[in-house]
Amino acid sequence: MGEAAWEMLLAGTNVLSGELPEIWKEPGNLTFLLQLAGEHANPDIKYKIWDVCDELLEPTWDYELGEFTLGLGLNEPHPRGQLNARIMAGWVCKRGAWSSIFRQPNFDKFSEPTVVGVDFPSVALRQAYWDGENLHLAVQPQNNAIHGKRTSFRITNLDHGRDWAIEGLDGTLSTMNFEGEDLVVEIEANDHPVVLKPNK
Amino acid sequence: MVKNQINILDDRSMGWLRYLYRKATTPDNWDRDGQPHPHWDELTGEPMLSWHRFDLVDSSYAVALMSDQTPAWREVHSRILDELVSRHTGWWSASDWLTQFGDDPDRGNYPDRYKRLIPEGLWGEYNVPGWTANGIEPHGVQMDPIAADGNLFYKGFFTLLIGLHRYVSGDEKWNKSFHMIRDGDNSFTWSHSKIAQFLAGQWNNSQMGCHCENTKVWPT
Repeated sequence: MGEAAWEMLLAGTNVLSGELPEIWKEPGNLTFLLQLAGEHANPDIKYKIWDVCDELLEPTWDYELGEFTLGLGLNEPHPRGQLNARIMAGWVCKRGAWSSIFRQPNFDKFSEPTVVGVDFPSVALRQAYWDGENLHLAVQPQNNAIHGKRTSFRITNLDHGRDWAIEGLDGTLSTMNFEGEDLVVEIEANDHPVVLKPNK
Repeated sequence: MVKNQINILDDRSMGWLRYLYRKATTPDNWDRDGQPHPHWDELTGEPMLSWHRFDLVDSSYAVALMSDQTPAWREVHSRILDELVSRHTGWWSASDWLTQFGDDPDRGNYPDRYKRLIPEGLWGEYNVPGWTANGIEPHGVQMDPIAADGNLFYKGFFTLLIGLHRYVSGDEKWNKSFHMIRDGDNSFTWSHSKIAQFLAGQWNNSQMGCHCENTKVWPT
């Protein structure tokens, strides 16, 4: 039913023609469209919709703080909260991801290796998942001044009876040692994907 | 088994996470004698959604979605959600319910744009959706925004918000007793499970469903 409603909405907006009708340019309606596109549209359709709408959103960067918001042409001192929140929920949502939280919740994460103690917001992890054997990470710096600086964090729920190595395609250097149950990792914040693997 | 899962959050997502973290961790006071920071939205969706709490709830969606893409790193997401839940326990989260008593004294002066929200023939004699009408028949004044017969939209979204905090963090913090509103005699003790049980009971005991604003029921 949700999919049928989405298809009807999509057809009604005519957005795939590359031109958005005036009524859909109103920020509330635009928000409705983009939030639903995240959950319901396939990736090609989703990005076509965003291509049409992006200019209306007034994408805004603060490169020093590493922050992204949407001005929406409102000329207000603060990004409009509800609209930003729902549009960005649509942006980060892959097709079916919202309903999956309720239908197929990921509870394994609580017992799998987990990174803690990240020096946020100076650095953040744009990739952090356990594939069953290896931990995949990518450390993103807040801004250019931090890019390449070393940072450290801890990894919990890791088998400390094994030897671990970090492998980066670019030869990223990293050091690590167990402190108690946790593995302490020191690594460059350079956005490069790395993999924490057990030594065979 | 190696799971095939390639999740990399893009620059916009990371930038939104940083902004929201700063927004959520900027101190302010949602008790009655305080005032939410002006970056919390009380403008959008007037007259039904133009309350600070909807910014709290809406802000939780992207956080939960992002944490599912980096399931091995959730501490920042958990912190943001905890800040959102914490604010939702304050007086300002229920400022509509706690100030809009009886019929709207201004309902004879509604702007024309409200006409799409008012049943034909009742213009001037009908409370617009968004006016919570605490105290109106048949319920009487009920100061606890959760124990009230109405106010479905308050307690429903709140359970969702707490649920997302628990889902992301694994922390049972909000499933222990906590105090809400905290305004003299109007202080109420709830937990996540108690709210959910209470709401489920309301649904089970009402064929028509729960009132959202008093006397306004979503069809089931």
